[in-house]
Amino acid sequence: MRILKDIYQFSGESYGYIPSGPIGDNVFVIKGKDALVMIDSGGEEEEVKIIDDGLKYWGLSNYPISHVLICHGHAWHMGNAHIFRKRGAKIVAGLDDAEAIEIGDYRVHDSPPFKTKPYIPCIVDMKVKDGDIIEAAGLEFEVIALPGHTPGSVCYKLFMDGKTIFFSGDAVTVGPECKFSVLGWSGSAGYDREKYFESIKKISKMHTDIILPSEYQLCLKDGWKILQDSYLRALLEWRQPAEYDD
Amino acid sequence: MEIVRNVYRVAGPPYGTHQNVYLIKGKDALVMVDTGIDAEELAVIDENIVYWGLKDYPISHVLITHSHYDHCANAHILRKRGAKIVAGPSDAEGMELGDDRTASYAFTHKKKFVPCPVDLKVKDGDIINAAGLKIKVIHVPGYTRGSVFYKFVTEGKIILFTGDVIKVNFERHNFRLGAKLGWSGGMDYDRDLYFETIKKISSMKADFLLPGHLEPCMREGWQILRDAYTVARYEWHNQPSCTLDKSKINR
Repeated sequence: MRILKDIYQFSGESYGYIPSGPIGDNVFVIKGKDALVMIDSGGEEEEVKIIDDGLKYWGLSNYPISHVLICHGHAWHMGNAHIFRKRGAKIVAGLDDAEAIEIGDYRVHDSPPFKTKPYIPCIVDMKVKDGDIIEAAGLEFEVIALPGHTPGSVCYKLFMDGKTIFFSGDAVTVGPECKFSVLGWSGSAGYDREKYFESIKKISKMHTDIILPSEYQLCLKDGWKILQDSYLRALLEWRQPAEYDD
Repeated sequence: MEIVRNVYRVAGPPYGTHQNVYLIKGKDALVMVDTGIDAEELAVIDENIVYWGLKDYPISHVLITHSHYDHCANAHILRKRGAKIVAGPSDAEGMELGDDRTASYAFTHKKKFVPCPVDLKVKDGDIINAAGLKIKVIHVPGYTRGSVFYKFVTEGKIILFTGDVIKVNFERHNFRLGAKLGWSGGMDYDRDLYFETIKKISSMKADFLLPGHLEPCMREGWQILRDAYTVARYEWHNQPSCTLDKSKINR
């Protein structure tokens, strides 16, 4: 579906079942100047067909995908990166997740239900850090490092159509009906709550209109409210060490 | 957002509102499905109409999926702007009288429901000609007496506007995608009738489901319809049904 005039969603909860189960990860495509930029790539091969169908439907098949920006190195969000790299896309990921993406070890979490087939490692062409500007398809994406959910979790910031857009990965996701934020899964190999809390604190002070996260719901209005709410969630949920932590 | 070419979602959870509002662009005019709950939501709708370059087209028809407050409270405003209001049997009457069929008792935090004349009272099988488009009415009683699906075929794909009768549900905790059934607080909610409806629609074909709440289904919508029957059997099995006599509806 077409979310804004030049931003499309081609995979996510609304896209139903594939043989491995329901799709849970969002994939976005941004049309720039003569090329497309993809945010995350989906984890299962079947999603590539759904993405291709979407590109065809909206008349984008003839544009090359110049870059795939990976928000974090979990297989069900970026397991297809190797396929798009073969098609000529440059793979971009946070510096501290790049090693896991290239080696494909336990850190990518490619076991069911996240992924049914083994993960195929993929070379990362651009390893980015906080403050970097990525120039892709004539667009500028600013990197905001948000370590915690994974060490190399990043948010990509884009300004388009007079609106600020955050591709926030799993670091800050949007709960049902856009009413509250949901913090990322704590089972990840590189999960670090202390760092995560600092990341949340940092992002909660930022302004955005739109949040397009890697999972769940989208927020297309007053995104900053979700960012602030994530800080409240972190304070409420994390301040006291939970019992299962020790 | 533009869900498929010429079908837009102009209000709903991503825009911070509880219920979805859709627009179909036809020939020189727009058809709206449901209206949202209040002036604030109407402002969101208008903002999206401007963003997608649709503000020069008049809204010729507003199709109401059912008469509950959150889906039709803005109907009277849209009618003043020149739109024809369309609703199913019984629900149309509920909207005109503003009685308990609007479930306004569940929306006491909002302004009083403003009754709205319904220009076109539709029944099962009717074809609505609006903005040069043909939209079919499927009567799906039970959730309310006059709940209807609006079926619209575009570029070979079947789109169903399902109101609150069938919604799409993703349960993260058990990794299940399926149907979610409607709220049971409606005055004329009739579980037996609802069950028969679900049985009937579970074999229908659909590609896209665009429900009144939560997120749409973009692929193989028939799977969700089929799942509704499973969910209804599972959730309602052995539970007493509670039907209220139609003649007792409070006016």
